[in-house]
Amino acid sequence: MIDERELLRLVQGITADDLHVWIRNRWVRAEREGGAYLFSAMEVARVRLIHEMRHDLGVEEETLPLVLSLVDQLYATRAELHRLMDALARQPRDVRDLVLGPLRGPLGGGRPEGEE
Amino acid sequence: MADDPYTVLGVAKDADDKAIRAAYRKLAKGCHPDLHPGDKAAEARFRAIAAAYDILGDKDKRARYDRGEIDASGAEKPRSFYRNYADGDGAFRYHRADPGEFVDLGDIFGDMFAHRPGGGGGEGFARTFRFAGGDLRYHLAVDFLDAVNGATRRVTLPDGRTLDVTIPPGLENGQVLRLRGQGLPGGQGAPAGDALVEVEVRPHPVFTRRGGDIHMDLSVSLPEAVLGARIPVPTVSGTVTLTVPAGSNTGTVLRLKGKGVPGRRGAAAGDQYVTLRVVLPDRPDDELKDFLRRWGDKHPYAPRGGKAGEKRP
Repeated sequence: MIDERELLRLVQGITADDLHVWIRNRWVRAEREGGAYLFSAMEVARVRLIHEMRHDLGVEEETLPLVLSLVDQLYATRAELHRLMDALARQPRDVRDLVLGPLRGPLGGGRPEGEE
Repeated sequence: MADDPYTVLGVAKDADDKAIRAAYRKLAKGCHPDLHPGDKAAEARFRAIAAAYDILGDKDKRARYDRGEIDASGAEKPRSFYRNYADGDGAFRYHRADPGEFVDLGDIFGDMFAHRPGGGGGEGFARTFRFAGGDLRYHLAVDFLDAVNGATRRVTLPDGRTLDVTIPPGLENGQVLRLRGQGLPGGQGAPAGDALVEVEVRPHPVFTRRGGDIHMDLSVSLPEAVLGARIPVPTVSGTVTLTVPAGSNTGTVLRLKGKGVPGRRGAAAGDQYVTLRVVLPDRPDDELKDFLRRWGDKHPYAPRGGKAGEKRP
């Protein structure tokens, strides 16, 4: 965990005011310890992403929550997909084949290719 | 070695700041790794674009690059992307308040499967299917000379395992080493995934690398340049003696054949190029001044072209 000063040093170009707004808006989740903020490596990366979206990619302040929400949904959906794949990986081979075989054809919906 | 930043951003050499910024934005939007978590190549593209913009987006750095004082590399900063966290354990940190709350996969997948035509399994399709484990990605910084000459580095993984990474000679910045079978274990006896190690080559204080060649600047004294000398110089494979021919000058480039990056698979090794820089004494003494006054009157020459002795702008 790092403190606010270290974070501002790591992510060049943001101000403490920016950061406080982002924390208030719950775009960034900081831990509090005795009145000071603490940030994990994930939050540092997220702060950098938000800064780059605002500053480099031209995402407007009002659009930012929308984009962030889509980004968060994207990662949550990917995690759900990974869970599904993990669950599938624990199934016997014939069950996996039944599920995944049809996904291999054109557009993922075709019949399985030739048998062995 | 990094490419020319103008080429990377696709802008003209005389493009103004606005055009450069617009080009960077457009390219960065298309490949920001955190916005394209499933695209493994996005990170390398984004790093190249960010490194180019780091130079061209900064008036001072751009001018220095244009003057040849800095090259296209060296602008890359090590960093960790958001997707490294959000695409792993942190996936639900921002999406759901309670990470313990399980997502109902049925909501998402049930709908999809319900509408798929020909959902039945049918008979007799028992094909071999290898459910290999996932790949793991790591980042490793190596010293310039290790990247050139090759080395073995032991890295400790987050789960406590150690891994010996063989760095092949001639490794380039940003190259990804694939260590077979060092990723996540496969299911049901299937092969494990691979560990992908992205290597960052640390810059060297003396050498820079362009392809297979090594470049360095060498300071020489006025007598060494005028009269010639034999000077020990470092190379990536140890010190050698360089013969500076009499009458050398600032900007004279000498080649040490075969002293660059070792060749791979039977290819010839690169060369080392040494660019001379004539350095005058800290404080010219009276003897030197007297000598140059007399010498200069008798032997005028024209370092800026034009007529000898002429002081033109």
